[in-house]
Amino acid sequence: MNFNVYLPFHKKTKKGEEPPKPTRLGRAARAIFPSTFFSDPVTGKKGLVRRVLQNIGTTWHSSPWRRVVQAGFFLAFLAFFCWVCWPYGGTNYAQHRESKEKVAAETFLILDPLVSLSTAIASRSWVWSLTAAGILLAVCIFIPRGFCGYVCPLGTVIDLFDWAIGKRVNRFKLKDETRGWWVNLKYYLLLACLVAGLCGVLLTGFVAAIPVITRAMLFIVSPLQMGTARGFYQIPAWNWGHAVSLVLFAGVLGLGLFRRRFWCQYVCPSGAVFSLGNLFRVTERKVESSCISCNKCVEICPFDAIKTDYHTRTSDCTLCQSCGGVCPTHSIKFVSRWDFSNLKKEEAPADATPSRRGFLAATFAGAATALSVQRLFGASVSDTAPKELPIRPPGSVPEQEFLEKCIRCGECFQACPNNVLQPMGFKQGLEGLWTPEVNANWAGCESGCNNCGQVCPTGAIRALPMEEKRVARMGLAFVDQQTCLPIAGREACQMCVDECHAAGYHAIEFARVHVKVDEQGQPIPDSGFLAPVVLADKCVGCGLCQTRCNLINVKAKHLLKETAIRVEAGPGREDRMSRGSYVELRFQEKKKREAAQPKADADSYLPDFLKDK
Amino acid sequence: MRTIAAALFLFVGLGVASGQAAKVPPPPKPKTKAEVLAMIKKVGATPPDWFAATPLNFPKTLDLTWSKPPPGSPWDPNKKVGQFIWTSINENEARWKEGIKFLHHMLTVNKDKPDIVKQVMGALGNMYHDLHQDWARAAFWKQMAGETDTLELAHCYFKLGSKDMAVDILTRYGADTTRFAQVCRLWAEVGDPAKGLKLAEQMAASIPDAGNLAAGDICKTMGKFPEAMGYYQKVLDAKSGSRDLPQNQKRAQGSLDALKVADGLDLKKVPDGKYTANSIGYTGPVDVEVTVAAGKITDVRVTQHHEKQYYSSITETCAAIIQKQGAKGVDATSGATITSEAIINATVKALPKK
Repeated sequence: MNFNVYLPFHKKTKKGEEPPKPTRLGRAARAIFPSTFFSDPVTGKKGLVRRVLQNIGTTWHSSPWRRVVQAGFFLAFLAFFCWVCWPYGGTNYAQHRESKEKVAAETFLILDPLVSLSTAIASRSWVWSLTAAGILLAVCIFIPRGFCGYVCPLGTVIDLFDWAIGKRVNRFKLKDETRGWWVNLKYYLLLACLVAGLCGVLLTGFVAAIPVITRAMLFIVSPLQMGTARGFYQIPAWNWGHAVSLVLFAGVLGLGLFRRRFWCQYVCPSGAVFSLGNLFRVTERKVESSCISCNKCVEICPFDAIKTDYHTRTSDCTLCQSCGGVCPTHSIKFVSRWDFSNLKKEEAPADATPSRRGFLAATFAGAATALSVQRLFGASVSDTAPKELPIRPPGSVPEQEFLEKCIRCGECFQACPNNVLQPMGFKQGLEGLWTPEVNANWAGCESGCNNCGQVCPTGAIRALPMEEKRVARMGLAFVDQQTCLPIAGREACQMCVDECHAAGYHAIEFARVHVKVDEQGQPIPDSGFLAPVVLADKCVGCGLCQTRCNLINVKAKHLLKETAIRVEAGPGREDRMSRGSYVELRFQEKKKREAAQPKADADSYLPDFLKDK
Repeated sequence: MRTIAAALFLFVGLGVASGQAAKVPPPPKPKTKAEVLAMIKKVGATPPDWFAATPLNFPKTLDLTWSKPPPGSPWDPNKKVGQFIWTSINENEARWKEGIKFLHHMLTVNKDKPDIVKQVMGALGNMYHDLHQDWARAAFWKQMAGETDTLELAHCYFKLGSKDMAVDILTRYGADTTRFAQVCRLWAEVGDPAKGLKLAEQMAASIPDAGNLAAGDICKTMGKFPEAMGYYQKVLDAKSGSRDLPQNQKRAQGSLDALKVADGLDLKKVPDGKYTANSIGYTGPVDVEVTVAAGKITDVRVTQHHEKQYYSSITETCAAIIQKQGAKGVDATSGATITSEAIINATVKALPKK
């Protein structure tokens, strides 16, 4: 079994020596491409491919496949992220919207095993993305920690940062051989996250790789994308939550000033899951006895995965194979774990394993953070002040479970047309940070869209089919009986009613108010105003009514200080279910309502006393 | 209730007609008196096809005895049947079928009180007439309520195919003393607009707002727009009149504006130049700049807006206005109707009227 995919170090054949036989792949390539592409082993002249790769950089030259795969995954990540964003025009609106539903923007999030693992632990329930994470971990038995080297978009961004900035700033650099207490930080962080999860608080969103990069994209790239494509006025206001997320991201990148991919090697808890998975690896990097101890492999290794005796730190090696390509004696191979032929002897002492003290501290820290977050900075789940309760996306599970399941990745904000969903700041304490909240003053929930549930990687927002989403209640609209323009007798206004009808909910109807009566006590037609009345059994709390009231009456005309129709959440106003059908719920409610009404005979059109006539 | 319903019938009827220069509906197929009466009897005794499927839905607090509210008592649609119908049923098309179901329920509940039964039957007739435009059932219930010569009944007979029966009732009225000039309007509708107009002018001498409004409406349905605009202007100029003066002036203004949009723009008289105006769109004002050169709209541009979901409405609507050389006949882009309409309205506002 041989897993070598690197580009071997180019050597000139010595006199009398047979030139190395090209591999089957090599022979096929030579048959297709012109000979100038390939190096000549006899003269030692480098081919075009090698020269080009060398000009790009050493890592491209030594292990081009890895870089190509990495770039491919990164482009896929970018494409998913930007494409899921709302359409920028076009006449075929409905089709455009439907096409967005199929964009698998959550792909990378479900691949991050820590995302599904920690949400499953915190909410004590099955999370659908565990399947994807399980499959990935199984693949990684063959490519140990391959996710980190080949797939992870955060890793790629860190690589880019290290290349553009990290390598130019040397004042903070650690010496190559320095390995402090922090080398096992990722395991402690992983343990702390899981312990906090056990205590019912989900901290993983702060540190897990894919949520960190997704949020960074959301807060940096997305506003630029939106702003340039559709105008900067379309970008919602920022809050302190954005700042915290960006500082965190800057910190992740900034670690690169100490050492290349410092975050990935020592800190990333998602990486720690893969490192633990490496215990079950079937392949690994091995060094043959032909090694001349030139140290080139140690210099190129981005993961500090090569010990001083050139053997492998198997828990850290991502099989990027850069070392293989720079080895002048072709002594490095990527083979079965149980292949022991021609090996160089191990000389360096084994690395210190993570300490018991560290694990104890991590356990304690996880629990303490969880408890303090709950007690001191926790979200208020109870129904004390409905105005303060956040309005969650349609199909959100019950609030406590929601807080345990929402990984705070922000993918739902990106998928949400017009940014109805916005990241919460510290309104609900630390526990509510970055969770999605409906800002109905900014925009209303599009009646034909169910994207947020489709992209949610953990099931905090259920992936509802359209017919279910349309009846899932997020809240209930209330008309302010003091300020509403027609009710206050100020002027005619029916924007909320029009919006509701246009969206197809028909949940606001008219009532004529301030009717004038003539001398006979008869109402004067057209007198007074038509005022909105919300039908509680039809309102789903989409907030389209509030948006319009805010944009026109509050913002454009300055008639009101606050919207006169507002969506409020809370028990009885929203459906928060972990399972079950909303359509069925509505049906049962309707049956109950009809049962409560006085019975009308089926053939009561003509009452008995008329039938005789 | 009768006056309420009478008023409603006019508003519903005219509401349909007032939007654009109305198309006169084709006259109903003529029928003999006996045919019409037989039809009323046959259809009226059967429920409409949606009747069984319509839920019974009304506030539990309602006083189903329909006692007459004492004068000066507060308006309370949750208690008083008449006010409930007025405030909630009439104003919401979605409730019109429920309204019929409710009145039938009222009939059964009050079967032992003949005067209330009669009142309910009248209300049923009005509701079928005003809201559902179900002429046969309206006439049936009106007859059951004991009406013989009301204007609504005449209208039903005409709609069912007997002009003679309608005229028979109408001639009994002579001059128009009704609050909304129903007599004039009905004359015009049954096919004698000249007589209607004459009566309206007579009425205008004493009640300028109601008379002129009716005259304007009649002219509009006849396609005599300049005359209609003249009458509407008279309504606006009236210093006093009926107690409905403010409402009538509001309606006259609305019709006048609609006519101006439809008829008032002559591009050849508009001097070359750029004209700007704004209109409220989805999220605030939409600024539009219209360029006119040599009697033609050469360019329409949205200069500023803060719309969120405008899709292609901006380019499409502007292009459509240039193509049609005006706002007339330009459809709003689906998906962004409000933005589209704002552009159309702003264009109309921007161009100077003659």
